[in-house]
Amino acid sequence: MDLFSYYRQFDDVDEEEPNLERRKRRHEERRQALERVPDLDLSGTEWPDMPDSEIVNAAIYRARGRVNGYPDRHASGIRRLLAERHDVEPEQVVLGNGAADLLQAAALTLLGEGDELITPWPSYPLYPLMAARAGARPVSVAYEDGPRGSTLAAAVTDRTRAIVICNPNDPTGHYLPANELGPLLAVLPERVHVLLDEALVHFQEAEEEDACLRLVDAFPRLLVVRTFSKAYGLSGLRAGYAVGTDAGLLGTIAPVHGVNALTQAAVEHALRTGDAEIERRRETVLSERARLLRGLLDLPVEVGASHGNFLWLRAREMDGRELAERLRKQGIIVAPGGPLGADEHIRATVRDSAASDRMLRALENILVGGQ
Amino acid sequence: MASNDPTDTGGLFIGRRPGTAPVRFPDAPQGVTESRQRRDRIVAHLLLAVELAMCLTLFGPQPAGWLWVGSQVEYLTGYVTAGISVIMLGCLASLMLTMAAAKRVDHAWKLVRRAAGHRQERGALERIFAASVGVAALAFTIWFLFIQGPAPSLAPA
Repeated sequence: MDLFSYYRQFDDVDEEEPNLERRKRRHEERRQALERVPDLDLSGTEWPDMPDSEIVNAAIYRARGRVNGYPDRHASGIRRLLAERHDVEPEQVVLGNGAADLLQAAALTLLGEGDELITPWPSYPLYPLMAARAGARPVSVAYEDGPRGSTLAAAVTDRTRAIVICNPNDPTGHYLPANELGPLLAVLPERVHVLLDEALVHFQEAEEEDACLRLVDAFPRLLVVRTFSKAYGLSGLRAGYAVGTDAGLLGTIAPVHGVNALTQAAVEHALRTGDAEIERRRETVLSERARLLRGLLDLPVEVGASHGNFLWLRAREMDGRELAERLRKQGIIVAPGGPLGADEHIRATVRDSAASDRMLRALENILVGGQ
Repeated sequence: MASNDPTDTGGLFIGRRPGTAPVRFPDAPQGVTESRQRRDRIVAHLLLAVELAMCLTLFGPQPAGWLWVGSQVEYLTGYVTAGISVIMLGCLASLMLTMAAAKRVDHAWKLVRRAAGHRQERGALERIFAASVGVAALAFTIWFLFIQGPAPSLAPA
């Protein structure tokens, strides 16, 4: 070792030098993370964004108060707000733990052993299940070419006690307007109730939002059910409400001790402050739905007009399961049609413009590019 | 109150004030002996003296040298401005060169101090420079007041 080399070994390394390798590795990890595109989940129909923080705060504020006491089991404040909104009496409104619970309670009340529940099909998979739970028999009516009140009326038998209609229909997106529903209600026998599930009504543009709901005054056997899970995006809080004029039915489907205090606080705040946001969401869905439909015209798919926040489509040369699987490989998760009642279809939720672009690109890759 | 001290973490993390990292060598030094360390201690002192001498030249010999060069330039060109310019630029250039050289000597001093077994984290140039300013100021004061200034004229004949 020469003289200079001897002294050079006492030279200090840069303070940063020991970290260089780690920095390089971290940089590489970050680059790879940015390249990775997370899967886009279009399989659910609930609103994908987190609720407004003020709505959550309302629930938390209530949670920090007297939750040792029972909540207002009649949910008087919320029912008053809903009554004003729909121009009905507060007594005509029942708040429940989600629309599904209210529908199930109605089915248990109306149906007995051997009775029939008519439901258009494909539709929400809960309906046959709720008939089965009540000991009744679900009767499916084909709903391929759109809803017809006359078709449903023709399926009514002596055993029929209720018809449940998802409006707009999940998953087909069909909408039964008030001028079709009214005549159906008029011809139904006295023993048959109609349960109208309007969970997705905010996304229809066929007519005014409360057009079907207004029929409850004229037809006491109509029960309209709505939810805070979809457009309001509060699925986790479980809240829905029913509007009708049959006091007996409304009384039996109401939860015994009402809806929990936290949910009531959040729902009340959402009703008082959330209209602008609901309108924005509705506008987003309507514009993106139209854009998706236009984009799909150039692709080998069959898709009908939808009044929901989703599209129900089928590829001409591919069944729904395979299409869903191929979309999964492209990073998009959709609901295959099999469990919803039609193997050849898929249901893809409509979200923002970025999601629409990705969906169209993926479908083009699969159906035109052969990926 | 907001703080921009990167080590002020509120006690959540163990931090270290910037610039206080321990000295790290690339590898463990080889060939270190006691006799070599003794010799390095002497060499370190010599290097420190060289540094001090280099800094002191900035306050006497170098300006004086450039004054002589400037006078020669004025004599040869006949312009006072040329002479003054040479003096100023020359002083500035030699100051830069001297400090660059002193910095290298200071680095060598640091390595030799480490080789001598000291945990020498920083160089000594700043302190040497400050000391040389002090020495130069003191020398100037003595020269000005007692040798060339009013003192000789005030002294009894």
